[in-house]
Amino acid sequence: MKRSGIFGILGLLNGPQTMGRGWVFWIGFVVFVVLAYLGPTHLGLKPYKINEFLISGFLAASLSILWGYCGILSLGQVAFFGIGGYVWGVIGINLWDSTGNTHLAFLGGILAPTAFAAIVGAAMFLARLKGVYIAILMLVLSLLLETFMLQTADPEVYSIGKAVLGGSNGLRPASDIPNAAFGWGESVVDFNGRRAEFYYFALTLLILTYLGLRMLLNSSFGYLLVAVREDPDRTETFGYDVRLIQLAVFCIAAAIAGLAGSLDTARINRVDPEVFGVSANIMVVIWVAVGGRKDLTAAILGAISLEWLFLWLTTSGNPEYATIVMGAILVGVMLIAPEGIFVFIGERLRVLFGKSGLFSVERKDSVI
Amino acid sequence: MNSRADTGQPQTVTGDTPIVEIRNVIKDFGGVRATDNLSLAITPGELHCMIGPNGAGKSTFFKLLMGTIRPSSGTIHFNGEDITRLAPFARARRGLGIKFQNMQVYQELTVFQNFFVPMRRHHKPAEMPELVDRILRRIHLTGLEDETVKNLSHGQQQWLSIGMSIALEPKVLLLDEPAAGMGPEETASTAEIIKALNAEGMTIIVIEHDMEFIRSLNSRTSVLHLGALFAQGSYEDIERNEDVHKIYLGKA
Amino acid sequence: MEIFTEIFGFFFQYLDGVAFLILAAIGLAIIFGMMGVINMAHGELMMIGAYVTAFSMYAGIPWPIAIVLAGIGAGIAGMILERLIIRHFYKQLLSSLVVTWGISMIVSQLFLVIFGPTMESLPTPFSEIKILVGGDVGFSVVGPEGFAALKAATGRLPEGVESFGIYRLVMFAIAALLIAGIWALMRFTEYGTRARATMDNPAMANALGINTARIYALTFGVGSALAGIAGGIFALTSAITPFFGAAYTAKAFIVVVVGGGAGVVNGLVASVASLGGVQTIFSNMFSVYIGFVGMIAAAFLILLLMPTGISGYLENLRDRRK
Repeated sequence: MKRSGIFGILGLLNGPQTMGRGWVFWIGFVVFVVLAYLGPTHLGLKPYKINEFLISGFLAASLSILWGYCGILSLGQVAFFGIGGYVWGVIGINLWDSTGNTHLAFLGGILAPTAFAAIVGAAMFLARLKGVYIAILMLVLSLLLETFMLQTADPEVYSIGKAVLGGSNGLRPASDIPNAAFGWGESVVDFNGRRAEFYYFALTLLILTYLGLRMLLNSSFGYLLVAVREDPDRTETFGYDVRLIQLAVFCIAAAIAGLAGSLDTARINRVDPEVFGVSANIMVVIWVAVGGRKDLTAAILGAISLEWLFLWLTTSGNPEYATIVMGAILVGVMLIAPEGIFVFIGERLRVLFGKSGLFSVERKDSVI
Repeated sequence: MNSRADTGQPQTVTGDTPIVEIRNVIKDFGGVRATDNLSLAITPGELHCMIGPNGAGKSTFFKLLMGTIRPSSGTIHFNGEDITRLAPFARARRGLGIKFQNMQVYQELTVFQNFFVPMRRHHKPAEMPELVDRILRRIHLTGLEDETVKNLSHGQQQWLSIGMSIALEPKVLLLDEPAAGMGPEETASTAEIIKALNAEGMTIIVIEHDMEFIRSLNSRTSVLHLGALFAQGSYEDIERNEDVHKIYLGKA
Repeated sequence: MEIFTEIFGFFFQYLDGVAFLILAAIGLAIIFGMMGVINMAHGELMMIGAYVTAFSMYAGIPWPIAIVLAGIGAGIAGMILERLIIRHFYKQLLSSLVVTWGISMIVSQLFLVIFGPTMESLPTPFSEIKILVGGDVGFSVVGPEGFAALKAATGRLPEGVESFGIYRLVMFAIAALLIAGIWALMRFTEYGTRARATMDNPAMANALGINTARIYALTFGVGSALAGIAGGIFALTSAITPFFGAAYTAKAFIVVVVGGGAGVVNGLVASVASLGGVQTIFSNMFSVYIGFVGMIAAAFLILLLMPTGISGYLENLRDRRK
């Protein structure tokens, strides 16, 4: 395939590292997107909750590229989510009056966790720590952040400008945490997290992030990620500094998690230490493991559908069993379809459509 | 990198400036001395075999060359440059290619995708299909480029692993037991592949257990024993050497 | 005399910290070190132990027996888990981690549904006996009468006197006993020999007629039983809730990972001795939170310097001396 112009970009979107490809997949994708845009107004869904599902999609994408594609399991991915959320809130509170938009809040909410990931990642990867240690260290890091934020109740010590960290009550003054807002002066567009407008905003952003990540994963960088996952030592003997590849994907994943955290603070105008907790971390792992960690599409679908299921379970009578069912689903999937439900389904679809070449293109041609 | 006229070189040098040279290398694992004051030089274009009984330090030698382990003392030179403290990827970039003993292929990728990783540093994607075809022909895997690697036979995966190392276009290729687990026919093909590559000018070092295989390569051979260089010479010399028989052939 | 009080307080705190870490980590160390399984449900096994202890004591069983029952209960629970689920995840570190995390979630929530958010708390043994240090008292161990007599004058303890509970020392003694017991179990028993052979080379052990499946189940059971005992001991000093174990899991992991898998007992002891020291010093100088941060920072540094953990490093050193 030639690597020029629009065909090059389409090739990257289609490409080999993501499971769904070929025109059957893309028709399905378009149908899905159209349905998603019609969603809250025509299907009678409450935007407030659905907005949360979309944010979980970002987090799942973040862990999928890190764990599924590059083989680095982080049990503390919400550390970046939480940092993004707090930084977004702090910047939002302080700059709202002077700017009237949240551009810098989003910038900070993405860059701060990325910078944090760069420091932590450099220490871990340059020391060539093994996967298990990284997983546990990330969990511990997340818990450290939770413990730290919990003891920031004293406004004298823990305040940044107008923002007060507020300990277990979360960032205050909560009424000053703005909505996501873009533009200048008269032409500011404001997205209320409880309304449908936020839904369209987050949905568009999620689709763009998804397509962007598809392009990244299908580029030669994506190949290197998979190569590092499959055999880091072998990849190093081909002249690649594996540690830098790991660090790079760690930072990208942190940036996406930071974006998710920013969106979440904007959605509910609130952020508290619970974002760093164990249950938040385990949910992300469940979404991705159950959906299918090795495929971006599967991981995002896993997050959204499991969140939906969880909501249904908690609102349909016996909320206390919701967590048990989620745990049981995780254990069951790990035993029966360890690659994840949506990867499992995707493989079956590929077999079904594969012979006619509709679902997957010739792999040889799909190298960019 | 310029070659230098070295002083105090090991006696094994045969005239040309060596492309790989290790001097007085010692490697201790805990209490075990895996490599004991080993000095060895490989000349450019050479096909060099290394044999020795189990635990003689052959694989350790390759790991030291590739940098996956560091020597306790001594130096390693490549193309005149001291690479003793370089990371494995830096050595690969300077032109060392390796196939380790355990198979190292990306099981979940296709054959073609396996080649993408070693080739990407030197070639544009557009050139790859042709180059891959050429290598596949060498390693008897023509037509299998879209096969997922985990579906290949053991021997085919070994060849693929060699092919991937070739795709890196190394100056020196290190092959640790390239014929391990192969049948007689596959083993013979492997020897042919290695000899053809060497005839084109690639420097190759082969570690092997199978004496038939070493005989078919029929090249300069070093015998390692207890981590030290025990004997060196042409294959015939080694085969005639009584002491080598005692430590190795006798046991084999 | 103040210096003495301070030193004693510090020493006491150190022993307390060490006992805490050993108890929290010992079961996990067995399972990780010998089986290579990351058991995120460790805290829930401790929680099961705590509940067994609680119910036993409600029924009037004295605490030492209740703790033994806790070990048995958690051990059985562990073996059932191993046979049902965990055995499918040997040699898959990350998968075992994820699946056991799922188990931990199910178990704790199940306990919440069945037994409610909290249990009636248990009396701490020996709580009436105090060690008093400093001031005019010097050093003495007093019962409730002596304690009351001292406080009689002002309603508080005299100037400069600090009191320490004796149960903390009992915890340390139990931790030391458990360590010694595990060492003896691995060293001197038939099971220990078979277990070490199995962990070293399962295929070979199998060929030699060792039932490796049973060894794995037993080892997981031993690790779980130790977690249950620890849970029972902690249940006597803290609130018993379904999420009781979560607080211990993270610390236990740090300790075990720093100790390394090469030697379960010596790794654990070295790791606990050093990390406990760091934690005590930092907690004393700054705050409990900084103590925890300091411990994690120390763990991180140790792992950077010794990627195979302290026991791997020690093994290397010992070999080199030969």
